[in-house]
Amino acid sequence: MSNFSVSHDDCLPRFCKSRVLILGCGNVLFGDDGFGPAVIEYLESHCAIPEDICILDVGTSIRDLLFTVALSLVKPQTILVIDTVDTGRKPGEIYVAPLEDFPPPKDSGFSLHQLPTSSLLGELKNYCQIDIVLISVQPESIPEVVCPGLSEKVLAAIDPVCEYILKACL
Amino acid sequence: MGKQIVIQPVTRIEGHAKVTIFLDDAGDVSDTRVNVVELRGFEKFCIGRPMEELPRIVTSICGVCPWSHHLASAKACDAVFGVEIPPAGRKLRELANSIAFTEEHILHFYFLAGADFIMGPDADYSVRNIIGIAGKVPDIARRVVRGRHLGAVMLEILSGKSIHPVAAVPGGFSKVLTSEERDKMLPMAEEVLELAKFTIEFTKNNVFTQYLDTIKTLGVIKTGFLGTVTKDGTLDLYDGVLRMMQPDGSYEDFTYDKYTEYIGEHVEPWSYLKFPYMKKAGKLSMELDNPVGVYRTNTLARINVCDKVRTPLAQKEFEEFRSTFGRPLQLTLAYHWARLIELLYNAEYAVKLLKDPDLTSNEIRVPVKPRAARGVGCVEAPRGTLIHDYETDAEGMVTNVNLIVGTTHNNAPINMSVKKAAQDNIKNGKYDQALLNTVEMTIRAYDPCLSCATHSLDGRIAVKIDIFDSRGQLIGTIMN
Repeated sequence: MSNFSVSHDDCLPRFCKSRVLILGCGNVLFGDDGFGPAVIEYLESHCAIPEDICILDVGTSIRDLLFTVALSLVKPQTILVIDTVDTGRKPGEIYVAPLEDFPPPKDSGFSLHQLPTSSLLGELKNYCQIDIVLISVQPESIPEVVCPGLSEKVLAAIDPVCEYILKACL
Repeated sequence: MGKQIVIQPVTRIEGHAKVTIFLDDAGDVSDTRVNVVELRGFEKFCIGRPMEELPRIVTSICGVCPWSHHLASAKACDAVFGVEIPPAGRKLRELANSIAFTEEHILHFYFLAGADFIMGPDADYSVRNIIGIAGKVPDIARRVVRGRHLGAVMLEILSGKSIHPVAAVPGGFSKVLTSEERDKMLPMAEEVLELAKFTIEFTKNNVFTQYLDTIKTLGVIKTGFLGTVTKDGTLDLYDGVLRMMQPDGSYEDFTYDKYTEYIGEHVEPWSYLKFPYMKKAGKLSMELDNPVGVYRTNTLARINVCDKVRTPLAQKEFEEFRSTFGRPLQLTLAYHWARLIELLYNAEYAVKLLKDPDLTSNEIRVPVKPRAARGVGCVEAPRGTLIHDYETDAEGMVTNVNLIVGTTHNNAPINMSVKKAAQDNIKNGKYDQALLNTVEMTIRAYDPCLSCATHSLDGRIAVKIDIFDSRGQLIGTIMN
């Protein structure tokens, strides 16, 4: 079923009306940054996803979607964001936590990877009472120049993350 | 050595920028620098790949305007292969471009710039966020969500995918639009047109008139302009010739493949991002009193360089805009006004294309054969002229790639406008919170897309000013 199908009643995007919204974000051109999209690809090809759960590979487009969720009157109860975040752990280590447990965005504007749209997620949590859960993996490397492909350790994290998601949502 | 003020990152624009303001000993602005991120290594990554892969790969460059990269790339491939695509293939591409433009312009106006105007530039920062807008104008928020969603649905019907498009291929378009699909899309496009009409009317009556003084002063600089027009001077966002306009309004038209004769690339040691400039000026100078070689792209540039618009409602708005402000208009905040004229044009044009009988033709693609050649593809992206320049060997493998994206064209003018805004707001070392807002508003007018290498969008703690004394010690910090 299309994630953008027009509903007969109110023409809201499916991702606004789903009970749980699962977003895989990251730039597949930059090594381990492609983890989020890889998880979504795995879920789509290996798992039966219930109707009230919407899974999306948002690549680098997450802000478009979150803005729409922020403005919409109907919102998901829970948003799971799958992303690569440097939390100082071992490469491939998975870290699941509510938004506030993650480090605030770095001040530098030059990091290739920062917590995605953290302020907007914060607004959704604080003003709209949406549960925001970040499922992150510690990258082994995020190259400074274009170089696609996950490292072995991050690749190995796809399975357990998918298991966690299915258990948490079903 | 005077004080140094650093503002970073700039809120709500897509990606990150760091603004550094240098003060002289008298406490006045001596210089400013706006640093933005840049995608690095993409050109090298493409070399050795079959060229037909590029239209699919380039959509990963930028999550903000994937359609623009997708179409510019497909056009560059057409040029390398030396093919003319069928009318229906071209119209399907144009339709996708127009729908993507409406989505982007709605997003920018309501979500990114909107807070400045809807909430007011002096509003408490805590309410100048997206939830703040939704709470203040819930009916508009609802229409915006619906309008943007209709755009996404239309793109999905048209191309199968709206986030990572793959439908444009070398030689044309890969998916025929059936008449049933066309009939489903038309009322959606008409509804988006109603939203566009409402938006420009609402904004003219409630926003632009209210902030006319700000529009007339904030970040105003004098530059040339670059945009795409058809041979008879009509605004065109998909195809045509490039028109380079001088600050005095004189202009010269040239074909895409000649861009290196007209556009030079200046390098500054403090920025990864290059500074394109008018090559015929001989050099680039960003001095506010005497700029040389500086040009701007994006909405205001396009509305300045064109002679007319091909759809009736947008043409009417264009005529009003030009008779009010003249040509070329240099007011930086007028980018917003020009953006809404383009929104209306694209919404009208999408409806017009959907009523075109050619659109549902099965003739949407011609075969292509590899050859050693160079091809330049260019479209107007929401944020400015987007150039893809490819070369291939006899097997069709990529041997060279050069990209100039919209925000890069505007690198020099953004720096100049920020300097002007900073000079106007800092006197004798005195400044307040309004400085942050005005500098940010200036940058946002250009709608810079800085997200090619990041997927972050910062917000609430996004503006930070560090103040250093002449010995380089931090003496104060102001944050939103």
